[in-house]
Amino acid sequence: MDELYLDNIDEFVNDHNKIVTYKWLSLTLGVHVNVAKQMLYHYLEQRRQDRSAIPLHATYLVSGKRVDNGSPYHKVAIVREDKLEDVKSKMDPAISIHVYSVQKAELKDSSPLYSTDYDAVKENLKNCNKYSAVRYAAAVPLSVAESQHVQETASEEVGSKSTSHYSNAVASKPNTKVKKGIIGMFAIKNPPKNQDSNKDIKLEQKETASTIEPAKKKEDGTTTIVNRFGKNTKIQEKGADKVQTSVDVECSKSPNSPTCIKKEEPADSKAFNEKKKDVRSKTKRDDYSDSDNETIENQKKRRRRIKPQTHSSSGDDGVQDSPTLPDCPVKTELLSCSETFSEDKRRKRRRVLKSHTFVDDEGCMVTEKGYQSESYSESDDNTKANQKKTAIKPSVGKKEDQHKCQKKAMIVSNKVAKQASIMGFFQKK
Amino acid sequence: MFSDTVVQKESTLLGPPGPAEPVFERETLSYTSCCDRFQLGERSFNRQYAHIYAARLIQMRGVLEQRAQKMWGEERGPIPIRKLGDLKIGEQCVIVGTVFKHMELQPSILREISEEHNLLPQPPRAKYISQSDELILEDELQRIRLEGSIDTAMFVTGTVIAVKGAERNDGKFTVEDFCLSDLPEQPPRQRLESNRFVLLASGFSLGGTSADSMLGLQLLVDMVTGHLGDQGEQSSMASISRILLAGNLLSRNTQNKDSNKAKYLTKKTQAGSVEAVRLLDELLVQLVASVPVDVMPGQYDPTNYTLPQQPLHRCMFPLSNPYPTLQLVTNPYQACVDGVRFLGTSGQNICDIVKYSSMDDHLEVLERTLRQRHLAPTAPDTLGCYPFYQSDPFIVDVCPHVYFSGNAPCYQSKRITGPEGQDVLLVTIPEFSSTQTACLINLRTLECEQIRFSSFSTEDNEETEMNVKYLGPAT
Amino acid sequence: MRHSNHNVGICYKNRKYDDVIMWMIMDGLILIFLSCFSAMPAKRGLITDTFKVVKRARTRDQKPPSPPESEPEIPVISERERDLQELKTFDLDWHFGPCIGISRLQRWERAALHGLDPPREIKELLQSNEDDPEYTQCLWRDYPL
Repeated sequence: MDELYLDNIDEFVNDHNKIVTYKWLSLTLGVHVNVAKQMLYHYLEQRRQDRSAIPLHATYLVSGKRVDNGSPYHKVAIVREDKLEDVKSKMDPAISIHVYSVQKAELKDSSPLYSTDYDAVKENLKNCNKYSAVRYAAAVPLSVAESQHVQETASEEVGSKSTSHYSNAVASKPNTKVKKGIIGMFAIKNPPKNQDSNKDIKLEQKETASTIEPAKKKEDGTTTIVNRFGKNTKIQEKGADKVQTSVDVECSKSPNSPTCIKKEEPADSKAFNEKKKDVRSKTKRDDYSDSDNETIENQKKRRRRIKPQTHSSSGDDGVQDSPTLPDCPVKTELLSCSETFSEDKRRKRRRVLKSHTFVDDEGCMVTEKGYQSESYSESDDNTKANQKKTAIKPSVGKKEDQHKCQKKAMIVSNKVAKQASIMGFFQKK
Repeated sequence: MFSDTVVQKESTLLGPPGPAEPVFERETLSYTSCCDRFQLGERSFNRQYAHIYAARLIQMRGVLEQRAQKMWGEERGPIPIRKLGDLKIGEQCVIVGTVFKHMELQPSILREISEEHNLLPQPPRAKYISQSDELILEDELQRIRLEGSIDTAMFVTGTVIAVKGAERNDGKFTVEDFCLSDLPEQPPRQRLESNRFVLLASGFSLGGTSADSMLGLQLLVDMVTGHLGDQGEQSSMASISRILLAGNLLSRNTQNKDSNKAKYLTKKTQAGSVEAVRLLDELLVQLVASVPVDVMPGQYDPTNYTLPQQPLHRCMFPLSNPYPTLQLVTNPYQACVDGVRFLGTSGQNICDIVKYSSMDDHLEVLERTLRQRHLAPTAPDTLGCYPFYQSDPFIVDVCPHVYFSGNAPCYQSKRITGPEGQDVLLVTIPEFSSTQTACLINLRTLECEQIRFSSFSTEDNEETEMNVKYLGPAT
Repeated sequence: MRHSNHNVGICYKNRKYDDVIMWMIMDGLILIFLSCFSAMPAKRGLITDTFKVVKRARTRDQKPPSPPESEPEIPVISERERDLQELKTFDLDWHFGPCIGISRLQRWERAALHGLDPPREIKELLQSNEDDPEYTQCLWRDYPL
């Protein structure tokens, strides 16, 4: 083995300022734990010889037999370097001594050691014992089908046993359906990491449809999620082009927005108006197609902020603390929606297109009737709709319309792309 | 001693990486679960607890009558054994029945309600015994007050005993002596060729306030899975054939206290136990990937409250569930590991007896329960219990080789022998979160020792940290 | 509340010894019996209800607390009534433990399990009339817990 690892460790310890534990190192470099311990020791020795280097701190693991109040016991201790000899001398005999971690700063408290390992272990939960010194051949995870089979037979056994034991007829029925449901819940809930990866995936999809493939590969964790994405990608492959993916993403966002807007108090509507003007002044109407990407970018950021709010409360407080914030993305989104939909020849999309066109010059409002009647006409009716809108009084209708258009957007999003189901997935939490 | 089994020449880890490191194969011999009796099939709660007391007395009577004859009837011919209905005043005889301890301080719902007007909830106490407690013996039909040479404070309600003495004119029974049913028959223990270990731990208290204990817990996991230590230690770790987690893996804090809040207020709040269960799952998956693990529920774990507690549901452990090495078991737990019979609980039964008797020491109580052949005599009186009617599953009918209880304040262990030469190892497994201690039982020698983990903290003295909660020397 | 307690006492007396034991045990129970107890005020009404409802032997029911032995003799005893009488005797045999809350067959099987030698005919009787609650359930089946 070449001594490249010394440089690696050096980089981790000095440049990244990490606490390098043997376990973290073993998982990171993919070496046997004992090798990792030796590497750390070797590195420590090397660095200590080099006088000019910044001093390093190490913790050691010591285990061995100790006697306390006359009763012997096995002791496993993590100690700082300065205490090493002290602890070692109390052991009779000390069985194992090895470097536990190396770090630049002196550790006052050993809890950072846990958190360092925790992150590393968490990423490798599937094969956390890959590099350990003990192997147990029987500890192989069963496939889903196998484990279900095992469970079913087990529950049947219990059931039959119990009926014979307690002659009362009301024996427990192994209800596998329910169980699956519960399992599903936990599966969704359990690894919070998946959510992050979902976000990543969504972003990737936004950029190009071609990145979907690798994203999918990432996702071998929970099957439910894979399924959802499976559907999604199918749809996207149908009409696959960049624009459409962006539509998906935007629409997927829209289920959030109605909740935000519904909550809006009348008092807020003024602020709302002003805000809108601001937006408009920044992005001129003519620039829509050009600014499309920008708005998407904005949404990308904003969505991150908005999402947790919708989780925590689909109905009450929480959202209000920034009532104006959600408005802007909604509006721009609608606009961009209309733009993109016009390119598409599908009827459903066209309906939405109508509904969105109302957000025009002065933020005029359109009644619902107007939408419905126009929804089946051609896309070039946009202009007509716009003109109609100007005739309608803006003050009262405003909020209502906002609702309605949001609802529409939601419906459309459901129809157009199944992405909405992913949002549902998040909201479940 | 575990430490003595380690064959280690010299340290191999204090040097540069050498040749390929060895990997030790873990082997397990045999395992038979005997938890069936604690599995609930049908769950019917429209029964009174009279059945369980009746079944208990029916099951125990024969044993006690035998014991009584053996103990008192040998020198002067058989001694009469009477039902309470047939007692003759002044005649020396033996009566068999269930003890009921009348306790002034015992919380009583009836009293609370009848004193509704000046209702002061009875304060929770560490002990509910008092000087005025009285023992009453009940058989199938009647009850009689016991007096004389019997230590009232030692007994708890629900114990079935045989008493020698005579009824007095005032209708009380003067006790001369009493006897317990003592250890049941014990199947022979399989002799093992090599050292094999079972590791017992309890009281991880995940989701609790102290994050400190997590490192200790991780050390435990790393040690067992063969990450920690030198080759010698690792090879010894490979001879651990099973891990038994005896309850309270979740902290008490994970139990939602505001359960009386309106549903709509708490609908969206996440149960405190969800995060803790996820942590537990992450710990378990590391363990089960390397060693068979039996997980017993405890008082604070998310399963039914009453004994016998049913196994935690598999779906709570999406990560470790696929491993066949994960065994979720009932709370009184019974199994044969490599030919050694284990029996034990997560400790509720012991804690309850401590509350209602003068005994304080978990080990003492543990021995007592085995000697009276009943895991949980105070169920259903002061300890929640399923209303069994057919038989009392808590009666110990086969003597275990290892009898344990979890979540004790400190580690203790003891070997006891029964009248027929039974040899039993008693172990109280300490709560890990407060003691950082687990127990290792050598199945070959039936010896037990503790493993203590320690790390350093800001106080800069690892010794104080670990030993503050260590209450006494192991016996 | 005292008044209702009193009532409870009576109702337990009616129910033979197993319930008397319960009555004593009740003192000690906290948790589980909470639910039981909460149902008690309703019980007062229920007792009278059940006595009204019972269809057979109305004459007997006019004197509710009287033990079954004191039942006025009926000149012609049908086979069914003889069976029921036999089963009642089985119910009242304290050797086999309490009978309330479980079916007669369950009680019979428990007795057999513990070697108490319950009469063979009872089991046959129960098995030949599996669908008739007057056969399968114990004497006090109409009393809710």
